[in-house]
Amino acid sequence: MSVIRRWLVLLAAVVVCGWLVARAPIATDIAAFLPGPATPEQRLLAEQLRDGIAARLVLIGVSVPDAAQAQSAARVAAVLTQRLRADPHFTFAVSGDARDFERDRVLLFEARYLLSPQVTPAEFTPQGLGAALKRLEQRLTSALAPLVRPMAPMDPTGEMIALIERIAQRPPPRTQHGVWFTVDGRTAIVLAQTRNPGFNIEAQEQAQRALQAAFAASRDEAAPGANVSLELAGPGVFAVESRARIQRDARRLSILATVLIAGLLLLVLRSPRFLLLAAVPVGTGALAGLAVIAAAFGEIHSITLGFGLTLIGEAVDYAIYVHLQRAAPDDRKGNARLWRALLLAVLSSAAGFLAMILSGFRGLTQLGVFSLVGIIVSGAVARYYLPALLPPPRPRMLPFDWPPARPALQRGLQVLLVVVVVLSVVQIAARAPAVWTDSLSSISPLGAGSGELDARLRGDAALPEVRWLIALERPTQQEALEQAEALRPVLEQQRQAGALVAFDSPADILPSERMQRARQAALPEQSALQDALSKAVAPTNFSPDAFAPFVTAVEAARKAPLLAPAYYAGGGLGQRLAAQLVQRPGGTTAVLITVHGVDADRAPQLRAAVKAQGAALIDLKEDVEALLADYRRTAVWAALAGGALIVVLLAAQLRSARLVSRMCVAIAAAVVITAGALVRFEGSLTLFHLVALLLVAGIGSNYAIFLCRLAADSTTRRTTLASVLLACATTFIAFALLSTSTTPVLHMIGTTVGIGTLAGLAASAACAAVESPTA
Amino acid sequence: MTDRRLLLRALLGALAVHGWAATSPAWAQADRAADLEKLFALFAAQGERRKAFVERRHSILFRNPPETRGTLYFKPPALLERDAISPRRETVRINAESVTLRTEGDDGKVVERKASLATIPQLANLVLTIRATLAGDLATLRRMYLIDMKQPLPRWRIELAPIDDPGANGVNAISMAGEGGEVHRIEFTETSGDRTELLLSAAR
Repeated sequence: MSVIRRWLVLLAAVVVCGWLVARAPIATDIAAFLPGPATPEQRLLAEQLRDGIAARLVLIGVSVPDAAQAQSAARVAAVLTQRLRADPHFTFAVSGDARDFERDRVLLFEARYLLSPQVTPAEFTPQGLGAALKRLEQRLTSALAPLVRPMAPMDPTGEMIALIERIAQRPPPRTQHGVWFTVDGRTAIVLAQTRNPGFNIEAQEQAQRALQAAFAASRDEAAPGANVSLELAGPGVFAVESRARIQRDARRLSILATVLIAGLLLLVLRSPRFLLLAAVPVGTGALAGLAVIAAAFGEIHSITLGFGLTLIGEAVDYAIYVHLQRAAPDDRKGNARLWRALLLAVLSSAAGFLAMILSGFRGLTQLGVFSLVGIIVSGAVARYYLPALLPPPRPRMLPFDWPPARPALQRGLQVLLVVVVVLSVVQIAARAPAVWTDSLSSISPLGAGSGELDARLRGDAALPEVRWLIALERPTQQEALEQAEALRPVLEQQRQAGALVAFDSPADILPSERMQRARQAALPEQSALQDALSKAVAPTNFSPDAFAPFVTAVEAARKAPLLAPAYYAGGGLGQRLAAQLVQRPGGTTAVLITVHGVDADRAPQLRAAVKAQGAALIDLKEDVEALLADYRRTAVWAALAGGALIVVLLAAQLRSARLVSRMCVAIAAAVVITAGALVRFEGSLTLFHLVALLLVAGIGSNYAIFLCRLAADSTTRRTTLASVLLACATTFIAFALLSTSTTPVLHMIGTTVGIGTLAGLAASAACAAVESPTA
Repeated sequence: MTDRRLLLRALLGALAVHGWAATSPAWAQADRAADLEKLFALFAAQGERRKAFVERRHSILFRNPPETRGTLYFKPPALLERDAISPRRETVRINAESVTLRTEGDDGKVVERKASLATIPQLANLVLTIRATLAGDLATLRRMYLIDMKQPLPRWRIELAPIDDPGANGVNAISMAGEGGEVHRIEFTETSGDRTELLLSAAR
């Protein structure tokens, strides 16, 4: 290939890649970094976490510093609720105003004969009605008479009361000044639901900005000058907050790292031109990686953009190696050596990234593909294009040689490393069962404590905990509702037994059509009802014609159309139904029954009872953690496979058992020492540590490739040593900075690779050997 | 029966005082306002108290008004307990916002339920009214009602008309009568047309 053709190909490739990248949408869906689902329940769970109604919920706390000012908070919360209702970013807002529930109450009352569990043929016989009237008289002389009296002529049998008792098992939230309040009386609570799904971070951010503006306006309107503050919680809020934090950290740290690394390179190499060119392999590699992702996935994830560059930052090393180790153009043998080493370095790093592709996390797969493509293209550009652009080589040699003239030095290092490796193994073994953490909070981008406000507001607003859920799925909505009805007595029994405090089933407000028809069939014809009622009223203190509206209502209910979900649309019950009766992508229907106050000790019996009815008890915390553990195990296997691939590559290239085992010992020692140090200092390892360890293996293999086969010629050798040391220093700077991040994910990767870089260099130095001149 | 005699006495007393007030045009607006404040000061001075009560519901639903009997206990500022003995045992304890209802069923089993006052607006209105009256909290009552003193102390009678949205909470009008700091009778006229009479007397 002529030189011009070669450059034209590069230019064309850059243009094509640029075009592909420019037209690809940027995704911000954090769920991509949650594990992909394995079982049907997990799939449902993942779907709900991603796009469920619960994922659109924003918990809003309007706080005052002192309970004495609660009224200010209440007024602001009430005005805010009104404003949010008018705001197009939100579909729903509620703050405990009793009037808000009036509409739902009316809907339930109108449909009472289709909804009440009391409706049976026996209820409408003279005996049944007699018993009902006795109950009614007691209620009308009770303290709750003002509540019962308005309904009495229409509902003497108390269907509404039976219905309310069934669907309102939990005590209602604490209310103060007409608004929900936390127990300490300082925070008024508003619940809002965003129009866009929780995973759409852009939309969530806009909604939160609108919310903040609405709050400011509400405060100025309802309590000007008062010290009222706003707190937000909920899945969307966390997503926005964590992205902002990662972006902030990444920007600050990458600027700092660029300045420090550029300064170091300038200081050592004294070539501004090289500084610019060092970015060429990384830049083209990143562009190619993004283009492949855009073509393969149809979108580029914002996290890939952020982390990917960190991961292929290793490619800066290639420029250093090429610049420093490049031999004179006529030294074919010397250059061939370098290219072979570079090829090996690229391939072994790429093998490490393979594990990421196989991790099962959609986001990590994308990151792995990006890094794999990026590193290969970077290597190719460094090999085929960079030499022509670089300034003439200006050899930089290490002032000392390695392996040292006195073998005792290296021997000492080897002994030291063996000791450290043994200590690391002991450390890991001692912690063996608890080496891995699969808790959700450990990988949460915000770290522990982020859920506290959420839990406090939830607990005080008596919202169902999101932890427990009973899920069932059937081909049709009717079958799903019937299943939920069959499940009800089982759950009621479990409730009586103390396994749970309360549950909310959608079938209680929307019975199956079969159930609704059965209730309709239980209602007598008008004349029969009139007769039975006359007989029942006669011996009582009630007036003979007190219940004419009742007879009319029953007759109307006999002919009423059956209830459908649309009946409740627009109100609180409609929201609840939409969250609990879910149309699945495959056309099936899932019923989600929220469960409150599960007794952890009795959870297994509850789980078994629910399972016997063809439904599943999902423990969000444990199930997600189990899912994480599954993926971590998969990732371990993938990592081992990646390791094996590195060995195969080395063996295929080097064809020397001694050399390969030397390198493998160096790489393995680096990984073991890093893992041991992490267990010692971080306590336990997460999935992100594991992924970062792969990077350690990749970087360690680069050092091993150069140091385990040093040139016999002292000048070349010391040049190689200088380039490796410089590459190591730049990598260490980048990741050590990353480890100072407060974002757990960034901190984990930074710490792991920072330690790993030093361990890798030390291990390779311990295994360093000079190539025999005959090789 | 003591209750009936009591009622009679209250009614007679009310009538007598009414006659006197009607014949005294001198009882001007300013005096009424002062009287009302004096009356509520007397209520406040009573502090914690326990009274026997009889509640009668006059309703088109019933042939004869059913009666509930028991004791009413009030501890300022916000604890109100209604302890019914007949026709069946039932205790309602309302402390600030929380409502606890204990009912004894026919089988003798006691069921306890809790709720927040705000979720039962029909009850909340009555409770707030009775609490504010017994506590002598005229300011709170004036936020809810236009208060008219129909007869002056000592044998007084006042009428309360809901200020906003009359009848929204099921009550159209309230009238109260008593002697000195004692409330003898409260009557709620409900939107359903029912009248509920609450007669209070010294607890036995």
